[in-house]
Amino acid sequence: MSFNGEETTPREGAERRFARLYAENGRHVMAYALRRAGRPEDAADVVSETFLVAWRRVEDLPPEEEIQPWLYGVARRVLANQRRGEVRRARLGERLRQELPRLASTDPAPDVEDVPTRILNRMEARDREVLLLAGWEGLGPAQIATVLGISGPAARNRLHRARRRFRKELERAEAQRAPHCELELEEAR
Amino acid sequence: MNKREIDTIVAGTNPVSFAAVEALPLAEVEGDLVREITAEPAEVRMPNLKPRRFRRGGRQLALAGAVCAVALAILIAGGAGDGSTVGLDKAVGDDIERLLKASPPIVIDAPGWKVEALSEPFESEGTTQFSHDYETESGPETDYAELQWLLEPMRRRVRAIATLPQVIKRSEEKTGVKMAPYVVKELAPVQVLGAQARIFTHREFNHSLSGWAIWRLREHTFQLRTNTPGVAGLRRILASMREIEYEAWLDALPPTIVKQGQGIVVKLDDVRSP
Repeated sequence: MSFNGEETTPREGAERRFARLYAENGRHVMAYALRRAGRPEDAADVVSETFLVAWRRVEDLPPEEEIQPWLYGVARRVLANQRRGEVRRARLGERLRQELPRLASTDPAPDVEDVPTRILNRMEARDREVLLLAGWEGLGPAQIATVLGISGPAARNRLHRARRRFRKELERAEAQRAPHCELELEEAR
Repeated sequence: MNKREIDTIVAGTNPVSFAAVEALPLAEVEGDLVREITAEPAEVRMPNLKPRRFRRGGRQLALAGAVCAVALAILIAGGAGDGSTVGLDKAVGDDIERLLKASPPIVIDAPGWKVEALSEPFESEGTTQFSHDYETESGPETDYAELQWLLEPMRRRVRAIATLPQVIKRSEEKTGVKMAPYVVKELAPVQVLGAQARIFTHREFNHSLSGWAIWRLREHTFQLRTNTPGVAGLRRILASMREIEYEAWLDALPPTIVKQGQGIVVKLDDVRSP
């Protein structure tokens, strides 16, 4: 086996691939997890578990262009297990679990949500998920399909419908807000 | 409202920006995590290693290698004092040789400091870790220093450090994720290994690191970070840095040095006599 023109053993090659995989994707998965996990320590567990899965399948990873959405897909399942209480705590990554909360302490959610956040929180989980994958992670339909384990056309349809519903809710919220503002102005006078 | 505008509105609700996550000083912790994970079993086909004597430039490195069920273990013994010179798989030996050759032979020439580990994450870029154990009234302490050598221009590294506070502030404003105050201060430059090094300190961001020194030497930009307290400590280390002969540098490496390259995960616990 050769790496950069150098001979390596399969084990070394695997470790190199994995280390590079982590270097290129670790912070993306961490960001994904921090955005969704309730607590930074849970996000640390998601990172550890996700990359442990990747390591165990290091000989069978998807092509490079699909790696990141594939990792998000693994992280998504880890998060789902975590929410169901099936995974209490990752076995590895104790230091990350200690350091991440210290460095990235997320403030509690504000009492008053902004309108888009409120709409997103009220949407169905399926719609919300694709919108966040597109808006927060910047993924396109093909990559969303990889994350969710569905076909490309299905992801495209789901995203299209979710965007339509979101827009409708946003317009409705705007329409409700306008007379309210006028009333406030009236009262102020 | 088109789909791009919708995505932009949704993006605006993102509670944690990637810039904020990218700025977290977790490289060392993540390095540990990668090592922990790669020490776990994986679906890797192991080769049939054929023992072979490993020689380099007239000086014999006595290398003891063994393959365990899940980890490849490599121990570099300083000289063949115990007479247990053994062979090593050629590919592994070549990898170690490449790592050693690619690492600049620089040491901290001060009492108690030793080379702790070498790593070469990318081609011609890597890190040497130094440590210094000592006793204090409150118990044993360890200072460490990390010398990184990179192919990128020095100005880019300096700019990355200088702009970190703004990057973090912007991230905080955008995401609401609070971080400790981050203040970078540049001090008067010092001479390191014949080059002028720029010195930066920061406080209250990562308590384990007190500063940076950055200088240019030949084709690489060097960066030194240390947890040694105070600017005086950082300057003392910089003044003690020496570039030595390659052979002397090899001798300076302790017998049980752990080489932690991406392709060379070393677990001393796993080393068995062949």
